[in-house]
Amino acid sequence: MKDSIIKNNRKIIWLSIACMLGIWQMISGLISSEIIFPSPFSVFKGIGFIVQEKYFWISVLSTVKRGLLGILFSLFSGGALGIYAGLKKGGRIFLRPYVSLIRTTPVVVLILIALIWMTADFVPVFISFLISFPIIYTNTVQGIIQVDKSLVDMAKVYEVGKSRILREIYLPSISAYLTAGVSTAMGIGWKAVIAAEILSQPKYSIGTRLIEAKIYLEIDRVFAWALLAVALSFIFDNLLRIVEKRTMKWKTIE
Amino acid sequence: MENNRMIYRIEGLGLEYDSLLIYKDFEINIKKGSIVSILGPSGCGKTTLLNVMGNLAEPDKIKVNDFKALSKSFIFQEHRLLPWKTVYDNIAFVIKKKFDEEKMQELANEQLRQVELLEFKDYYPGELSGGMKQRVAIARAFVYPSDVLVMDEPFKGLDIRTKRVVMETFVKAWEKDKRTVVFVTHDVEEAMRLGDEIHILEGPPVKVVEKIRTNGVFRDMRTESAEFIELRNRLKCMLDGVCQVLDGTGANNEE
Repeated sequence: MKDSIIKNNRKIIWLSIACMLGIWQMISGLISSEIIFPSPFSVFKGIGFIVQEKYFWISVLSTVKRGLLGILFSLFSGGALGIYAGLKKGGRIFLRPYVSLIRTTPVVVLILIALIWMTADFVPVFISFLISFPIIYTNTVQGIIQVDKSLVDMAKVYEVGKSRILREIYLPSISAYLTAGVSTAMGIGWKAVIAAEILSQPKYSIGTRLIEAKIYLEIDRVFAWALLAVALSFIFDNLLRIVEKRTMKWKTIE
Repeated sequence: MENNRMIYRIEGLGLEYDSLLIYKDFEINIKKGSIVSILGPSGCGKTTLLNVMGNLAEPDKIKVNDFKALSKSFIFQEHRLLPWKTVYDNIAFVIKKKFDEEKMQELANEQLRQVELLEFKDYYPGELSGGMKQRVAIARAFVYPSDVLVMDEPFKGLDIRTKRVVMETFVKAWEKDKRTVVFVTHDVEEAMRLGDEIHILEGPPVKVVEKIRTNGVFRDMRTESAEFIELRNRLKCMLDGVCQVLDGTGANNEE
């Protein structure tokens, strides 16, 4: 039953992608200018070209590294502060203005400020951090608030120490919230990292390659890099699902 | 008067909640090595008493509280197992810092064998039935080296058949261990089946209105002696004001 639903969903997704390609082909046919709106075929050909470029792999890996570093920083800081704020209401209220400030400031403003403060290589890391921090922090706070207090009471009456309660009750309880947070943060984070790279232009990055392609009016390559960025986000989201499945076996049972 | 070395005492317990006097000069003696059932209607303040015993609530006044310094294990109304830990890890969770790895394994396996769940040691709680989960909770309570085992309506919510199995499992584990047990319930049969003594509470303010010594004679769940039925009816009368009609054979015709 479950398998047939999944199969059916997959079919719908493939159909949707096929429709998307059809519409794309149609629009590009109507415009009939490869420079303004390249056809799917030219873009796939463009992917073939950019993969062979000298700096392809180092550009992709550098972008991935920057994105992941930012998320990792926010995972530690957002996670730790989220745990604290989840446990202490006072801390939660104190941190509220800071989180709101980071969340509501437009990304481009953050990038411009970061450009003044730091080197081109570090700007995307900082942006990835700032984008994912509020998401991971908020999810962690929510997770902590939702922890089953009766389990904590159980551990207390059995004289289990505070650090073990944190590690063995709070952390597993919030792991689902954390994974959801990381997944959302990655989705938004990649876009922000590439935007930051476009403005800061570190030597090796997807953003720099994108802006180069745009300058030389190689629109097929712009589309190709954009498509690769989408694929990157998709790959990491799926990797996260695999990790989630492995580490939270108990959840799939329940 | 019982010898103080044989009993744990609470004396002079006073507690007020929202200007309602729940406990006033309350006193209770728990005989060491026995199961003491504390029976009372829902909402009479039984759980509050357990919370005082378990140091989860601080009373307004108390003269003697032998329970304060004792180590306790608990069986709660809900199983309170960690869903992300296997059955074995749930048991090991409470004794990890008490014993070395080898001893911990030995004790955890022994308790799981005792509750007949050894072959389920690698299962997650989500894979077990309600009764099995409560048996794991029993194993966890017994594996923990406590002076007193406190139980707060642990059989509530189980169907009749499962309840019997879980109660039998509990009795078997207790007979091997003979730990002091404080068992709070509003269910007359449960209190009679398990208890060596039954303290009947009424209130508020809560007081022990009667103390019945049964010495655990009703622990065989398969038999219903005339004595059992008579006492059960009397206690139900006291508690709910519901009296059953007995036929000439002495059999219970409630059902």
